[in-house]
Amino acid sequence: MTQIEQTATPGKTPAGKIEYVRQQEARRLARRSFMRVSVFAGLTLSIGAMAAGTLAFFNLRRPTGFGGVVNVTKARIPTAGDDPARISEGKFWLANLQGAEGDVLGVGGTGGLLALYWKCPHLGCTVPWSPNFDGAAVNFPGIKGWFRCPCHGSTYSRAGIRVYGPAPRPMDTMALTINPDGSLNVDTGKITGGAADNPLRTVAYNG
Amino acid sequence: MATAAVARPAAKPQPRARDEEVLVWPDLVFIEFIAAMVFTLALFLLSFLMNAPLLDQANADVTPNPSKAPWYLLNLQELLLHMNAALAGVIVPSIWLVIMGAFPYFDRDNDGQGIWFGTENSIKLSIIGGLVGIVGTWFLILWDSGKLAFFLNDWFGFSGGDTFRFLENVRSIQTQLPWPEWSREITYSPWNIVIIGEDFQNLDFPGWLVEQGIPTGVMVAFPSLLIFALWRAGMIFTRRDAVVVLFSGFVGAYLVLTVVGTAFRGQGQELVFPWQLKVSEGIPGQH
Amino acid sequence: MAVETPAKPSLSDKLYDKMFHNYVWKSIFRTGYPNTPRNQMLIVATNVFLHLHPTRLHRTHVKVTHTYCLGGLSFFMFLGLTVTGILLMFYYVPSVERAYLDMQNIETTVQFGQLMRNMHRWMAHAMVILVFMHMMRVFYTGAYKPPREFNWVIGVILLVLTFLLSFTGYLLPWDQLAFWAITVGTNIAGAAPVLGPKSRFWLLGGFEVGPNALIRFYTLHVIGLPLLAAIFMAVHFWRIRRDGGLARPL
Repeated sequence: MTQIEQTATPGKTPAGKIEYVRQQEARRLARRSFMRVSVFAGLTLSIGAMAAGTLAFFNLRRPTGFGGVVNVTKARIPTAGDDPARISEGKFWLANLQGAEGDVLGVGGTGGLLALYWKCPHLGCTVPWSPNFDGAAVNFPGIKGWFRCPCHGSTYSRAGIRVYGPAPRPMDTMALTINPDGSLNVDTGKITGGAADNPLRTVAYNG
Repeated sequence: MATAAVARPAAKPQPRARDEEVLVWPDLVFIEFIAAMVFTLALFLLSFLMNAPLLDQANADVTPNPSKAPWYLLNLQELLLHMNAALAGVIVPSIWLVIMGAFPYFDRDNDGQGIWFGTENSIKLSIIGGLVGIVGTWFLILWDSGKLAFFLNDWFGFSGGDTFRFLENVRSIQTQLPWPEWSREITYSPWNIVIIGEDFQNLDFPGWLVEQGIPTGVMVAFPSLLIFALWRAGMIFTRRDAVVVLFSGFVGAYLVLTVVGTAFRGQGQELVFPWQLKVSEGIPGQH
Repeated sequence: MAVETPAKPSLSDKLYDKMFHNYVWKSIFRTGYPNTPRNQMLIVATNVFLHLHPTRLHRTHVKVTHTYCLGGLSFFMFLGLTVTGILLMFYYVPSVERAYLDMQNIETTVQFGQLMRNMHRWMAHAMVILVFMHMMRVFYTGAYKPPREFNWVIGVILLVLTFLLSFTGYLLPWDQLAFWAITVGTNIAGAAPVLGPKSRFWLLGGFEVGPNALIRFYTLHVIGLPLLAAIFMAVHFWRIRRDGGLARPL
């Protein structure tokens, strides 16, 4: 108080002096609360940033395996007409269709690569490839080699077309791109529900 | 105002402990907070700028040259080059830790606590102790690596010839002196004492001298002599002073040993300058 | 002069009131904002983290040049190492087949993984240096003198534990640096007279650094030694208070 009174010159009247001191005090308080708000805001921000960083730590930058992009080297790609290749890390069958092969319903398939998600659309069993299964048992005589679910007997052609069993739809397919070096990238996170047009989803491959 | 008839003795304000005290919040908590923040930021910055090293996968068939322990153990690895492995690697550090732990039981005077360099000569003694530790350790390392003899010959043309060859380093005392044959196998026990596979019956005296005797002597005698000399010079008055010299000497020696082990030991643990230090990745099949 | 009427509460005042002057907030923080001496002492005394401190202490002890915060910072490094260490444990498997691949995975695939690993390593180095400097500070300020003799002994034990913590962590990346550093380091321990070879065998779980050594070092590094260090730290801090706070001229 005494210091302020000594330095305070404005206001000759006592009321002026009181007003000056009051303003000084108000400014001091305002400065202090501003500092306090800034400190706590800064603290909240930095702790928030660290918490966000910690959460991000649990994120993988390039997820591999099922759910991410699975690379299939050229050597593993079956030649046209061969049995489908089992790509276990991506949970799919890689079929290389020759011409209208597998297009049992005749929707106009022209052949090429097709990645078929191996999960049965019925109740989720893993569908194996049965190379010796005769199509005669499911009214498609002459065609050997079918996908046949061990759980309830749903049967699918090379292109995943359902021809028999309780499955509600053909096998699901995955997005597939061909790299310049002849290998494949299959996005196992991008699964399209199977439909009659499965044979039309093929990607031509001349590798 | 000098009108009071009776001069009443003014109540002298008594210094109270409370007046000297401050509140922990904010006076201490804020300092701690700022220190923690500064360190957090500095470490974040360092982590952004410098990556932790990750070399090739561990391979027991390929030994890098030089192979080094973590930096804080390189002082021991450096010590190992100069004396018996058990002495340097285990006995010296263990005994030193016990000595250090026993400081307060030796220096029991509670005077001079709570202020930097409590006694009159503390600063001088710390500097002397530290310098002797640094210079002495460097001197001993240079001597034992044969660099001292090399410098004497190379720079001053001084050569002891074969007569003084045994002074080139510690181990030349064993190899360059004509020790009598009996001294290489002194039987000190009438029967062989075996403790967990180790025999205790014969003593190779020259080997014992250079591996254990001289190093132990040096490590005991140098600090003792320094403290004795400073006491006779009238600089050490209390046990605290003696402990200050001992501890400062340790810090100096520890520093030099760590730095030499980290930055001055090249391939084959040769003494080199830091900029000549190269690490060979190692050759498969060669240990 | 007009009679002053109290200013109407502004929006921020109302917000402040709603946030901090309600039942829930007050159940968490019993004291108000520490802006009065009473509240400032209460918050230190009632907060479990702050009550490590006394409510008030001597003026000389808050001078930075008295302690340079070295002990507190060593503890802070321990806390930081615990946090970053636990995070790294999510991605690290201490097996000879996986350890090195996991390290590469942490550095390349995990978001902020490289940063987390760097933090852990530099913090560990910083802790070793800080603990040593803290010891020098305590020595040169004569703070080991009576009645703090035993706390100095605990400090020496904590120094050794810090070295051991850092040493056991050194093997975990399973790269050439780690492997040979631990080989050299354990050879030093194995040089001990009589007990040396046996203790090295116990430590490594074999004659060489291998799968057993990795899992032993890992377990010691992530739980055994930190637990031991935490116990000694608790005693260390407790004794500071019991022995009358920081050392001060008599």
